[in-house]
Amino acid sequence: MSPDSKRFSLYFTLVIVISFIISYFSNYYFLSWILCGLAGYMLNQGNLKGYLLGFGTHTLLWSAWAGFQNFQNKGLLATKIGELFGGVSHPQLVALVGLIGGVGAGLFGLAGAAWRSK
Amino acid sequence: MTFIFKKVLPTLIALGFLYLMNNPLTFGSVALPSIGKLFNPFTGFWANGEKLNINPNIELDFPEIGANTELYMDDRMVPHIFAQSANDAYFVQGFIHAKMRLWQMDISTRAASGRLSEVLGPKTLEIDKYNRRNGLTFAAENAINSWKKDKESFQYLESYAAGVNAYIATLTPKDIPLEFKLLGYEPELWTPLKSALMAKSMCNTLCREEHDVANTNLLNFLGKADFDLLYPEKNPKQSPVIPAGSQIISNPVPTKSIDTKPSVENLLSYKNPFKPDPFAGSNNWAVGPMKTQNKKAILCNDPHLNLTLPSIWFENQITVPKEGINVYGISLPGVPAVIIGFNENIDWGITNGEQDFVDLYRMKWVDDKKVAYMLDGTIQPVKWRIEQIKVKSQDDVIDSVKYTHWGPIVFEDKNHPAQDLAMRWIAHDGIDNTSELKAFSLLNKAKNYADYASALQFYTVPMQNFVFAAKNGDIALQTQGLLPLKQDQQGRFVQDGSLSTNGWQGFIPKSQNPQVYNPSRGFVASANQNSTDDKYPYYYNGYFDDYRGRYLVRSLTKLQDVTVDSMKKLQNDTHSLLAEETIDIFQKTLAKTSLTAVQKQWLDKLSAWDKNFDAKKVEPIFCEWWYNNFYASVWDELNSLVNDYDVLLPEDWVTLALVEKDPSNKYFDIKSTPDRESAPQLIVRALDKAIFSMDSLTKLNPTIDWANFKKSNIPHLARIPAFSTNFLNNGGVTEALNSVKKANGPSWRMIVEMGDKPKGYGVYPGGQSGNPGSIHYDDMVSTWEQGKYNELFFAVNASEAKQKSSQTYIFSHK
Repeated sequence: MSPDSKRFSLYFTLVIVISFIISYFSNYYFLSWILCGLAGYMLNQGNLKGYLLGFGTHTLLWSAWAGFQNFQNKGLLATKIGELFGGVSHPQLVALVGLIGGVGAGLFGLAGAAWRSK
Repeated sequence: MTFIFKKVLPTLIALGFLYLMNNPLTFGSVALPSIGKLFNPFTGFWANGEKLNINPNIELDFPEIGANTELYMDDRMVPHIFAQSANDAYFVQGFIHAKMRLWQMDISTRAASGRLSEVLGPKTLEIDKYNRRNGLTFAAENAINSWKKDKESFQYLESYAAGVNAYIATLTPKDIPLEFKLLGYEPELWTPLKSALMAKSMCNTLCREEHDVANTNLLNFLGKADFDLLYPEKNPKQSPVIPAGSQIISNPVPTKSIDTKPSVENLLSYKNPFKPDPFAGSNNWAVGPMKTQNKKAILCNDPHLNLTLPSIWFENQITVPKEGINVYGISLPGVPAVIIGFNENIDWGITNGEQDFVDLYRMKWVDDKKVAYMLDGTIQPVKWRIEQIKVKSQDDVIDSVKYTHWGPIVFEDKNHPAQDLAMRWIAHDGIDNTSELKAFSLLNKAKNYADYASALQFYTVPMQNFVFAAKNGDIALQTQGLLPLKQDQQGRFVQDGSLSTNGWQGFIPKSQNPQVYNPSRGFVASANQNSTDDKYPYYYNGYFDDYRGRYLVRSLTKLQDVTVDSMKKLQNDTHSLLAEETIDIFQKTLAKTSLTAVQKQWLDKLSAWDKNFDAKKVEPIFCEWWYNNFYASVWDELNSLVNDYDVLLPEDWVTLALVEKDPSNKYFDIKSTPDRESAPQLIVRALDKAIFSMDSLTKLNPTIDWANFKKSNIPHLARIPAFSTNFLNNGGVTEALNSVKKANGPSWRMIVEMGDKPKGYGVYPGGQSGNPGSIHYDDMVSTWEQGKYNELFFAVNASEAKQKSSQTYIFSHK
């Protein structure tokens, strides 16, 4: 594994852990997106990697945490919310939420990286 | 330029996306909540999904708690509260109401106080203006001022509010109930005024109906002779709540004679845009030991209200041994104590009284400015109540209301100032030495008939038929509340508001309100029918139901060896006395008419039918069509009025009596045809129409049945289909005891057999939790739909409750 890849993996892991902690204990879901901006800047591996750092961590984190809660609730509420938004099934909703988190964090990761890119 | 493109632009895009996600969006008429806030898995809706593994023991510390209070949740999420003082008990009741139903409490009080637009936007502005014009907050403030004078019961209200607020204080953004997240606003603190608003909102549902304008229009349009023929006040066939001859009043309060004729001879332009639901009805009855198999009194109650999710009711048990309280029943989230229920010694239930508590008065303004009016020859200024309505994402709207000697001006007509109307409504009165809460808190711990009767002395409004049964076998029924003292016909029509003598002449002494105790027939019963027979010495008018009451009395008279099971059957009885009498009268009327084979076939089918509006039958559809077609054709003379004016068509029993007694009456003639029709012709035409409609329907849908035709449902309070029960596969009809309509019906069914330990059975169409993400949100709907009941777990003591609990809360102050 190249040093860049190792560094990316380390950042990826740290961002997931810290994002979970700040999202779980704070009242603002977007603080971890801003964290991705900072991480993208510090990673210094270009815009694409900056985006992927945010997108990857948050797609994973958001869909996993939504999926876990959905599992605990046996899909009861997510099915109703999905119905409210045009008949989306609860697994689709889990994926959609992952995507929203991913895109948000990805855009911030990219923005952070852009300030560092040449 | 490159710098902006490469560095700044990505940041702007990221911030732009965040802005889009973090704010509500509107696309044309579609308003979306903030997507990021709602969908994120940390504070969004996911957090509201109830977990299957709940924490079995929760300890909570609040400074308001005097001594340790335990709450045991049973498997149906019914809390059983064990406290050392009533104040602690009501604090905990407030806490648990809020935990289970906070959004419902918020939206209900917002609706009553005309504050919906603040969170829902301009679409609810008109209903807000209407509720403010009705003066519900004015009524609640007056109630609070009089309730305050009884320190003990007012303290209960304050403890309850503190409990609600203690729960609100524990909320973090992720715990906020789902509907707040969806609608994008936050809960606000609870106050005793909000509890009073809940009570006044009930008044609005149960006693805001008025027919003054309709009666005035009809009398002016039809003339006295026809008005008296078509709008008689009492059905001679009625079975009043108080059986004839069982209450003798020897010293009635005399009334002064006033002119009761309408104060106007033309048609009035007032039309209430938000008429109260005419289906707010109910049944209750109690059977004494001599008619029951176990020789114990059995009491039944099913109040009919709009069906909603979350349900209007919440089951709970409150036990305060030191104060003699151990009561089980349903409460109204937003109000302390138990409203319908039982304790070890007595049980009670309520139905609406249906008397007229609203009178309208025509204003005589001093001039066009309409800020002063004439009363008894003197000039009186109006009092303004400033109503500033906050509207979401718009400027505030000021719609101040003028108050007069009578009450608020509810209607102003720019073109006809002499038709402006003021409203006298009992719900506005703050009456000293009364408190509905005190009445219920005393009823909760009543031990016998004397306790029940004295508790009811504190009850004022809305007037209810309180049914009662006791461990010792006593049964009773009182129509309780303040009933205005009026002379004959007073308040039936719009009156002249320039004479104070046209006002109510006081109230009927409570000791002379309609009441019955241990009648010889062995049962007491009410189903919104007339309270008394003609011998009752006081005049009152109202909006009484005829068929359910008569059927109930007929059924109870026949029944012997009554059991809980036979009472379950009666509560779920879908037999329509209206259908029974309609078919009988129609067939007799057609005796000499020659009919086609198809017509005869349908008549035979209807004769063989048991007149039960059961889910799987088709006869109910046909019967409804036949009768409705006929009814609409009879009253064509009133069609010209219906669209433009407030009128009421004659009652069903009046229509059928006219067919029986005078089938050639001029009202059976269809004005638009050259022929002179009579009742048999209209009945045959209606029959043909029904046959045609039935054929068309069965061709389209061969498996159609009554349940699929009436399509009953239970809408969510904010009309969100995903949170509603969209189809109920059950029977029932307005005139049946099981009065299930489109989205209205028995909001709670309860049967209690008294004895050494009361045995209670109950169910309501909903669930204990108000959270759409909980399995307890609607888990009782199918039990209710099938006419089944839950056995109500009445714990004698805390250890019994603990054994059956799935979750324990300990409230204390360390």
